[in-house]
Amino acid sequence: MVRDKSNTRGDPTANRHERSDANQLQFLGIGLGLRTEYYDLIVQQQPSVDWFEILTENYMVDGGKPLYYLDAIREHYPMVMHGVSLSVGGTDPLNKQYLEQLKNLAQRVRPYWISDHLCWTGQGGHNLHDLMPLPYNEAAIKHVANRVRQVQEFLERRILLENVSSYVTFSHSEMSEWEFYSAVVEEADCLMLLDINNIYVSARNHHFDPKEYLAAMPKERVQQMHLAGHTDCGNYVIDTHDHPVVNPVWQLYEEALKRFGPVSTMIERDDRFPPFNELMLELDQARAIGKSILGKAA
Amino acid sequence: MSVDLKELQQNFKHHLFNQESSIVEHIVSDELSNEFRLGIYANAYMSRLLEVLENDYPVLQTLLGNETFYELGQAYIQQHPSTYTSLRWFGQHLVEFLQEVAPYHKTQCLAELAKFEWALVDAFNASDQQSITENDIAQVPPEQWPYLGFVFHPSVFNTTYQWNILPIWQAHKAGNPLPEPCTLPQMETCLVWRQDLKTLFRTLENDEAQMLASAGQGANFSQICEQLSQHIDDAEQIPMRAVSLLKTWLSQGLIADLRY
Repeated sequence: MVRDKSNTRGDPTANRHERSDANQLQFLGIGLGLRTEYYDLIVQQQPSVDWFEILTENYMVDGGKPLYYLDAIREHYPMVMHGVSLSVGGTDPLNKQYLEQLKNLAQRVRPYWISDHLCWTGQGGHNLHDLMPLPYNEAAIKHVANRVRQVQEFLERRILLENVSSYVTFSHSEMSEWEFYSAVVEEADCLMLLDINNIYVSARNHHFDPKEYLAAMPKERVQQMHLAGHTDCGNYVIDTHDHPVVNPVWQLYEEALKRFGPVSTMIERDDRFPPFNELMLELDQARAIGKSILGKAA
Repeated sequence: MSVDLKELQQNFKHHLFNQESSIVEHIVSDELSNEFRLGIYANAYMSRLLEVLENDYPVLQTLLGNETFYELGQAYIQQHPSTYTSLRWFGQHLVEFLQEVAPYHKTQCLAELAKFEWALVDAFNASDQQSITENDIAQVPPEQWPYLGFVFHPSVFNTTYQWNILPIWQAHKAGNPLPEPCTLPQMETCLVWRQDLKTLFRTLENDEAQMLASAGQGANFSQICEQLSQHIDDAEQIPMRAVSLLKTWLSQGLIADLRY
């Protein structure tokens, strides 16, 4: 079983940021999203998963099962925290109570890193519980980067921002999504969680070449990648995480590995949960692709 | 902060809430219209919140049937949009909504069932705290017993109802057809709590319900025994009954601390 790998990717930016800890840009291997459906199996069988990503908000509770299993599983596996409520693209003030909860949970989990999304999730005190799209323009870049910097200062660590699937294009947009994403992370000096499935979904929905997207990513900032399934509706695609990863996404993953080298990658499954061994087969597939593209380095 | 961005987000939110907003004109149309594209977000918003209500109130959903439950859910979402980052709290106003809003308020059974289901949610999510045992209570000096007060575990909740809530819930749990809602001969109290990560419940006799309510309001052991006299004629039996109930509470992990 692989545990606590320490083979960093040797990138100089790992130590560039004053607040970054020594684990930044560490390669953890191939991981899985921790979901309640598999709690008992993971505790009892300790399957060969290199690391788990938790959904931060699910553990911002007072007590009970989630925190019990969180601690039990963290004892045996590296973990990272993935949130959906930072709303770095939002225009309400940053939610200080949420940030406090996030910091407290991080003290408990000791995650290798913390991520959230390049989006907004609420407005006027209402939480929409969805990853809402931003217009791609200079004003939004400055606005988001400024908020990410505030978050990083509060958390005393760099965070990762994930690209989201989107279904609309704003007439306010002045650039491509990949130009916007790259500019935000540069301006904020944060890291990237590159969701390969989201790139595919948005490419289908907005008719761009996903390889062009990958080619534009600042390699030194890509800390983690996501793989997931989606729902293909023919002339548009919805990011549902309720199916296995499809071949075009695996192919895009190959392209990503060619460009970025070994990057900690995990499978997200959020609905229509299959038997655990089916997810293990997907992890094996990710490992096999890594091996074929990168050789033993993966 | 960009004023334009704020306006854009306000308008987008209003579209999710009401499907009416000037945001439409700011979305590019191609082979899919701007309204269709916005509709993907509106559908996702509604279905995500309905799913939360389904998870928190599964028996209410079965009792009402999907169509009525979704109508209820949509009306609730309109009136109580989420203000929390965690979805754990989204359904917290449904009991009150069912008690106050037509046509649901006419059927008292709905709010009572929802209240029971929400108590299960609360107990599941309550803080962790070590419960005390008989050994802890054995340390209390005899002269302090009359003044002894009880702090309940954070997962302890009770709910009273006039309708056959439990048979309905149990039929759903067993996968059986639900019995017709009907009123009970008298009000019933059900205790809900969590022990060893399991959410549990049981109905209470009248005297235990009263003892629990009094203890929860800060009454000491002497006052609790006094109130038990309303239910037990034989004065000698009162302390025995009180101690017996107390032992049950201890064995079920209901008490987190003592005051004396």
